[in-house]
Amino acid sequence: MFQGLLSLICYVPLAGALLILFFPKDSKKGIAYFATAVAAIDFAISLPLFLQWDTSLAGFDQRTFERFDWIPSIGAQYVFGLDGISVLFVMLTTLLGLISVLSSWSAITERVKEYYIFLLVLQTGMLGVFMSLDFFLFYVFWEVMLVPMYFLIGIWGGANKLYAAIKFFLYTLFGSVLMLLGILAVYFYYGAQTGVYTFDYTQLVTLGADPEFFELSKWIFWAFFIGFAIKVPMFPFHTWLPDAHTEAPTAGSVILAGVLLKMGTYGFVRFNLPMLPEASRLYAPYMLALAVVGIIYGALVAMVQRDWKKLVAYSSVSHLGFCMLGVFALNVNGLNGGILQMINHGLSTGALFLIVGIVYERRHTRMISEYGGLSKQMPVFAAIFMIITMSSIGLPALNGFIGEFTILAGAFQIPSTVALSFMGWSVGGKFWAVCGVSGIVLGAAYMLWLYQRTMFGGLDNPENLKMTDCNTREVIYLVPLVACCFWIGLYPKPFFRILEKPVARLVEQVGGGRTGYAHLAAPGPAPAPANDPRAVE
Amino acid sequence: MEFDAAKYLQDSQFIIAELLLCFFAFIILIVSAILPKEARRSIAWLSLFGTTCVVPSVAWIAWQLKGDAARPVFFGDVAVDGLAFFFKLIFLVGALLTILISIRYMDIERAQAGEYYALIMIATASMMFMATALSLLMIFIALETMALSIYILVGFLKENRKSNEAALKYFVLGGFSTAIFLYGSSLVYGATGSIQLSEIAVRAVPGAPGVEIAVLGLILITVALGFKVAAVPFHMYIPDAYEGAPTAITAFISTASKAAAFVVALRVLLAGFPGLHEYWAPLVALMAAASMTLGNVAAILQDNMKRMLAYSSIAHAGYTLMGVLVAGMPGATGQFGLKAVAVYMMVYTFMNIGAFAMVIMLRRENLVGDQVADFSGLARRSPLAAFAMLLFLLSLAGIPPLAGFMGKWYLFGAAIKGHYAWLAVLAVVNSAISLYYYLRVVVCMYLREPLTDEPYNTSPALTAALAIAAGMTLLIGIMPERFLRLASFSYTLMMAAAPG
Repeated sequence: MFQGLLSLICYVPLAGALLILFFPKDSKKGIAYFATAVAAIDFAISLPLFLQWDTSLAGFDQRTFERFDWIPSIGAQYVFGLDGISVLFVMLTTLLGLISVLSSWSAITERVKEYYIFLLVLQTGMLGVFMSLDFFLFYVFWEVMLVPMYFLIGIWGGANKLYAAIKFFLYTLFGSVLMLLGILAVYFYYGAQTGVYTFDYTQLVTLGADPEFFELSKWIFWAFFIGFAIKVPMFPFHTWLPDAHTEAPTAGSVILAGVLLKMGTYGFVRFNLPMLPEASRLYAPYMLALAVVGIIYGALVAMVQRDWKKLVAYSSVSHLGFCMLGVFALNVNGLNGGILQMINHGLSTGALFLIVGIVYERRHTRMISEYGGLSKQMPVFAAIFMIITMSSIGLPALNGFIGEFTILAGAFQIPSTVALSFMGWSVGGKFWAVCGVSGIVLGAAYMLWLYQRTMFGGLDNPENLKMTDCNTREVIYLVPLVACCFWIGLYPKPFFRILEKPVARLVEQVGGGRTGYAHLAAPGPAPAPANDPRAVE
Repeated sequence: MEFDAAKYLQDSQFIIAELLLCFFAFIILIVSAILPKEARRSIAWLSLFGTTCVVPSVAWIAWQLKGDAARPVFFGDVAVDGLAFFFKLIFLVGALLTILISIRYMDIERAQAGEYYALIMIATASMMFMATALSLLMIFIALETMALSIYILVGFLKENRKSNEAALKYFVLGGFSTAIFLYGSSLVYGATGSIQLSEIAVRAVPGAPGVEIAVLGLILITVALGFKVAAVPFHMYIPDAYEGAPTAITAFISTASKAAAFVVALRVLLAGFPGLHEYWAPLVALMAAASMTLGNVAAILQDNMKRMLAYSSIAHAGYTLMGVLVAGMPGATGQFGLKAVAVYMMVYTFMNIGAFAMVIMLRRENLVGDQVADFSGLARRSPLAAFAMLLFLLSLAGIPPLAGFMGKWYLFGAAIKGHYAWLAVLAVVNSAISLYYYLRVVVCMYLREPLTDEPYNTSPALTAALAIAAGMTLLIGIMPERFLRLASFSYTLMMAAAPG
């Protein structure tokens, strides 16, 4: 039923970009409308995936599978396929892709043609990353995507765009080439072991069950870690993010925060956990430590920002820390929450960047102190901003709450053996969850304070009197995000149902048992022998 | 050994490509003496025709080889094998593209001359001999013939001081390295009593009498080859030579002549000293590490495009040396390394000549066009050219899905497969660093305003060269399978064939 659909979804934006090449340079409106149509088609054809998803599947849906030989000499194949985890990311990408194109209509006035070409090529790259089930193909898409993003920041960015663009490109490339070494190591190990040199994910993932792979997998874990952690970004690899997010044009920030960052977390979920389970368990305390440092550090730094967009950027560091906390809880709740929170973050932070973009387009400044009392001037805008703020800080009935709650439920299940020892002190177990909770409090503080400083108070700045409320187009692209926030907040069941089986399998792969730390469980009372009369059939 | 005319004739079929090239070179020399000065431009087309004629003859040898083991001809001095075949292709590609990008350039420099094209063809023929040579003497003669042709080509702009300086530096240091090579060869001969690589391989093994002398000779030969492939610390002349030489010749020596040096290195180290791998491996590893690090760091500081590409070429030599290093290992690992070198050299030829072709495109009567800043606003003025340059630069940086990535994939893979993890890590870190200076050009092209509105004028030949280079950079990146199969030919390296 879905035969060829994934390739279609992936390459429709690319085809659109190629067609835009033939547009005359001056027909700015025509190009914008056409790009929007392409993105809309892409979203529309991806909808059946979500609506008709078979939730009983733990693995990859055979209906979506596409497999061709690509470079037989090295065993690289063209393999596309989705499971319950990646289908959510594909949907997020096509939705945010459409919204970011819509948001660019009036924001981009120069070099319009190139802009939409880069935006659409970027979308192909991102979709390819989430769809590829061949490590080589995955890497190709992973890198391809950097080039259009570099141009989006570098050409249409803010004052410091060149610095931000190069920093983004170099930083990410540095991570991904180290990841490439990890990929090569997996490839050669598997080849030497089985005689089959392949990049096929479904085969390579079986290495997770190979006990001899453990020694090598410790190194590979760190190679992958660098690649993914820079993308996430995890503390201390986050320094490219504030620059890139702040300088990028609105659509670029939306895509960066909404989709690009998820590639890092997706990478951990897709590769590190099932392929390197023992190493993942071994290093989980370090990952958790970096995650909670990210949560608290990101929140504290966000609190002191004077730049609206930078504040949102640092809040991403904090929120992505939450996702990592959930993922490396290595249990069902943690992973469910972590993955759902990735989607939530894409929705709410994407919306926050759009909101900054709306005021920036009107006032051309991002300084929080320039604003104040906007709620009187822009009531619709203020209402939407309020909902998104609440979603971001995790108010019940909105999506953030569901995600954070589930993550914390998972984090509280982390056994106390998962701890870091330092000079006789040992921190771990519930500690991670406690740190996470404090992150939520800080999150509420900086978001509400931001809201108060910009929306409430007097309209002191005469410049702000000229500000107009959201126009129809702006409402149109914000409303779907708001609706999704309520949907996940009020009725998250469809999402959890899609995630249920894949996550259960993932937890099984990464270590078995409900907590994911079965091997670390304190030796309790010996299990009842089989012939024990007390044993119940 | 008795003289056997029939055998000579029979063997000659395997060097028909070299003979054809020399034949056309001499025709060109004669024709250029006859032709009036204004008509000299047509000689370029003649040389293009001649070089194109050689391609089928190379392919014919490959067809002869089909299913057959590699074989030595001319008393075991000349190899007929896959390695030679594939590198001959690289030289031909390099020569063809160089001639294409030369035509307009030599017009502008007012240095259009028949000798120029004849020398390119003679240099190409000597490179082919380098790729087939199986004795140290053959290698020496071929190496010298190529070097002499290139010294002249580098100094071809007689009125240009930089070109003269470059030629002198290249000549002095080139002569120096030749002497070192000769000294090393004589030591090896003294230790093993042979100049045939296959016999050296048997006698230069650990524990053999006099092997210490052979090791010393090996080290000297490696040093000389280090000069030729432009590896650190023997790279000092490279930036000056590359900057001063006519740009088309810079493109030629940074690709074809480098590939020739690499194939000689493979031949000597793999066929001549397989037993002494433990001696030369650390040497090559250190050269690789130093070349890529120094080349990349120095390239960051350059404002002149040709100097930047010179340092980048040093860095690329460093990457490729990893392949040489691994090629010396036994079994499948060695084959992988060998293929990595072959793939990389071919890929590098396309992308690097493409980049130099762009520098030539910017050259106008009143503008040298070799500064990075000269690329400013290229995307506005000529979007297609800017896109081609973007492909070359990203490919040099190893971004998929471009040819350079396939090449780097093989080299990094070879390092991992050969358990040189430290070298692999260094190489990928360097590869990330290199992006910085390649991006500087991209920034100029796409993010800066044009310096002038003067339109670019290009020539059909230059456009063709750019299109071929860009097309192949993209094609090898996206659909590499056919190309990789062709490169697999290089596996059939003749190791210890007895003299026939």
